[in-house]
Amino acid sequence: MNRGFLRKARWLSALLAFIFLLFSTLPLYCQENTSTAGAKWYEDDDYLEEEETVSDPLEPMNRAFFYFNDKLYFWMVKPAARVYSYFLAEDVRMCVRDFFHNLTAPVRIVNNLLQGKLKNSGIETARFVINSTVGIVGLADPAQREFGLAIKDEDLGQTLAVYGVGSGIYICWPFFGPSNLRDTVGLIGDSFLSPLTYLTAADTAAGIGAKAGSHINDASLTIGDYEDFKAASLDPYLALRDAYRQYRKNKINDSATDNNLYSRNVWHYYVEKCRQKPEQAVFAAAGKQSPGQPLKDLFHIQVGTAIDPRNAQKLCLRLASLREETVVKVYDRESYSFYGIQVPAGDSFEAAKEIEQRLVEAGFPEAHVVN
Amino acid sequence: MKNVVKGIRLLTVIHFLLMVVLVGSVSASAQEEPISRIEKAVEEIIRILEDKKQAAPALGEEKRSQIMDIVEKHFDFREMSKRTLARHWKARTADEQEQFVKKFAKLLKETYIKKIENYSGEKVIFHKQDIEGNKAIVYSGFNRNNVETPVNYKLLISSDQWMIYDVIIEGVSLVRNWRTQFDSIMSKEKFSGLMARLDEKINPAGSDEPTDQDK
Repeated sequence: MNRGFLRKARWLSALLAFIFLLFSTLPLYCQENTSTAGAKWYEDDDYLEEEETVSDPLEPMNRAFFYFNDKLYFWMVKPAARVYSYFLAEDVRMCVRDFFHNLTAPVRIVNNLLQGKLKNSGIETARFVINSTVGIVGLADPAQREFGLAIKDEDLGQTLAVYGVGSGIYICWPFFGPSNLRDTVGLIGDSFLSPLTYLTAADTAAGIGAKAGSHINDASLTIGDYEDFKAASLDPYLALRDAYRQYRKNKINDSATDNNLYSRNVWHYYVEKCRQKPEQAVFAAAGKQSPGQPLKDLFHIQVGTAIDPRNAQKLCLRLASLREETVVKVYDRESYSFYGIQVPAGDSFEAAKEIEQRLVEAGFPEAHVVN
Repeated sequence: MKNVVKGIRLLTVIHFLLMVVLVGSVSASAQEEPISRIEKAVEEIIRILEDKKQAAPALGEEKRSQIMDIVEKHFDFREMSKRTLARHWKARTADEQEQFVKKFAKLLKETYIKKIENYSGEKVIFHKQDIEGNKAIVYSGFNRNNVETPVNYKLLISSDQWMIYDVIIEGVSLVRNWRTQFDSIMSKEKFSGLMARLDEKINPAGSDEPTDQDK
């Protein structure tokens, strides 16, 4: 018998079994998403009423798997991650993280499409193309840095939720961690879009090795998080179950990612305010000054200019990622305005020159002192 | 799972970052904007944390108690206690409520003050605020390893000051998370059981959780 066919048939039947499970317990599902999906942030005074709870009939088994994952982390993942981080610098590990994230771009592209988010699907496509080429097969993230294209994280679990499928029962998988019935189906569906799955199909050891390596890499960048989480909870199992529920709900409603939008809108709002009073036009992005205040420092380093506010914002974001305070000055000319993006440089010319040198080396060749 | 755990951890750091700052910078104006209060607060905390005079990695006793005082003055623990006990709050006597508020506040302070020591220069960016009546929300982001995590603070006016009553990291609300745990413990072990568990957490007899493993 053809082994390939048999393997595919097994996958298919597993998928079908899950879908059957999903739909056979349909009544369970239709409640959760509608309850507080439209609640505003200030409508939270109903805490004295009954709390929405997660359906967890498999709790004893889930707790056992949770305990297993806990031991796995402390006995295997964490020691391996520490050795790993001893040999690999943080920058390199961030590149590895970005590489694996880039590999799963098809998942995000397709699921954005399935949810009708055409613009976001385009953004993810652009990210994939840019990062795979300019970003050297995804090792870097120039799409975010240079073009301001933020991650639009979607997966099949979220897509199903948008279509109205409820979460179903809570399941804590060994190795994979917290999930629920719908998200598990989502993970299986998404695996068909991930290259790692096909690698595993072709060469099991390599595939599992890659997956494990990616996991250890991520763990090495976040050592301490799980320990802090446990220390902060009375019942870590429950805390994780609830945190997972809230986290997924937030992702489905896309409110977690909206902060990027907020910063963009805030930026435009302030720029418009500044435009009305150009002589006082100062807007501090990620810095200490409030818009409209006179400049504190005598010298500034002008890092670049932009006519399009979006380009100005990108420059600000770049500076912000280097932890530089930025000031945006709006220059109004007769028929157009432009923005000067500057870094405050204190009151001494020598110190300002040093900062200018530093910025030139950091990737801003046009930086120069102005006052 | 990693994202969620990361979120919870950041939550604790931010929690305390906020606490320290808010206290030190209360001005005469009763209605200082929430976002600027928090902004100044975070700056103050970062300044304290990066104070080079502090040689040892751990915060000294004096700084610890300063921070504790600040925390008490700027987080509305009573409001947080009400919201975490939720439907069980009304059934408690006034005395029990007082005790719970004290214990819960102590737990939060003790647990999280350790985390604030691990601050290593991450940048906090404030986006905007929204005010609705006597409530406000401040949107900010915490930048670590080139990834920005959204952190939001919910405040309400309590005795003429904006006080924080919830912190939300990547969509996970601190109050909600505690509420689920307390609800489950209350239904199985009742109020006395909950208080016992809180005691245990504050003064661990023999800690089975490797919280002090070096990172």
